[in-house]
Amino acid sequence: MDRTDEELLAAFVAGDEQAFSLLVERHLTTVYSFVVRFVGNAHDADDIVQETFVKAWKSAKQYREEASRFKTWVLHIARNAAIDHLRKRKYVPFSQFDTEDGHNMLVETVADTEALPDEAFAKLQDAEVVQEALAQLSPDAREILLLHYTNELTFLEIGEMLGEPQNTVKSRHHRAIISLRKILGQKNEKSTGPEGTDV
Amino acid sequence: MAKTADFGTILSEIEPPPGLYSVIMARIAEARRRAARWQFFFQTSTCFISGMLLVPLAQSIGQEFYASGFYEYASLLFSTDSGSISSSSQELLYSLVESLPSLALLGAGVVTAVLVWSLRRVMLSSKIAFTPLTRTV
Repeated sequence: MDRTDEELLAAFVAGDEQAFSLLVERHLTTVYSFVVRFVGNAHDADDIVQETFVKAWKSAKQYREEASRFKTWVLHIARNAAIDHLRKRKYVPFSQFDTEDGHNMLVETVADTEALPDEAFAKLQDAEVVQEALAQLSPDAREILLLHYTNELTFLEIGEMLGEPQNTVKSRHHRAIISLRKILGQKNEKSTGPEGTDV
Repeated sequence: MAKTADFGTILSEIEPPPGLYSVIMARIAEARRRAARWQFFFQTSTCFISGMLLVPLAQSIGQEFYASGFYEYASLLFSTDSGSISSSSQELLYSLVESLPSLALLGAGVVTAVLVWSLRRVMLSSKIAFTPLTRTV
């Protein structure tokens, strides 16, 4: 039977180095997905993700299971590392996910879905539109949406991670969704003309 | 909310580049080695300092033993006059305890414990500090 994250971390603190490598393997995709969408640059995301897991390794003894899940804890470290990075680089709404050979990583890795039931999303041509819309949001709004939808954290877990009450997180989420819909609506109007779908 | 659930479908997880895991583990191995080297040098210094302190402490203890009269009292325990010893055993015991150079002994005990502990840490940290890094897959 697979050990839980918390059991693996406890084993690592007790001296089992292999346990930490299993944790990295387990959560690398989750952390990478969040960071790369948050900073909008694959190259920078590599550095930030490396820094995240090294910091997690260094501060493993400070982890308290009763405070949060391991996933929440490591995403918290990733978020702080990403914010520090953005502050140092003085990032403004950021670039696409283009790789050096001209492909777009986001488009190629997004799940292939058929017609989406929602009218607004049904009008979207590809995931680039969503990502462009996300890029126009503030980092605060963007992180709430990424943590909840990409990383599947509950509002309670996000609140614990950010040090905010759950209701505050829900309000921020609500405002982020409204802002996102507004941006998507504007994009739809541009692409379809005045008769575009209401968002 | 059905609309926001679709948003999650669009924003699925992105696979990291193939070598990222190896790079992370290599950085952790390097950080572990660096930490072990710092420990090694710090504990080696602690060993050296505590070893140096033990020498004058041991000399001081020896001198205090002679000066305090402890040896004279202790030698009474081995005297042939067992009758007088048993009658004044309590006073003899108090005299022995009072004449012990307690502070110097306590200091030597602490320094010895530090020396032994730091020696152990030196041995543990040297294993990691000076083992060549191997590639992890």
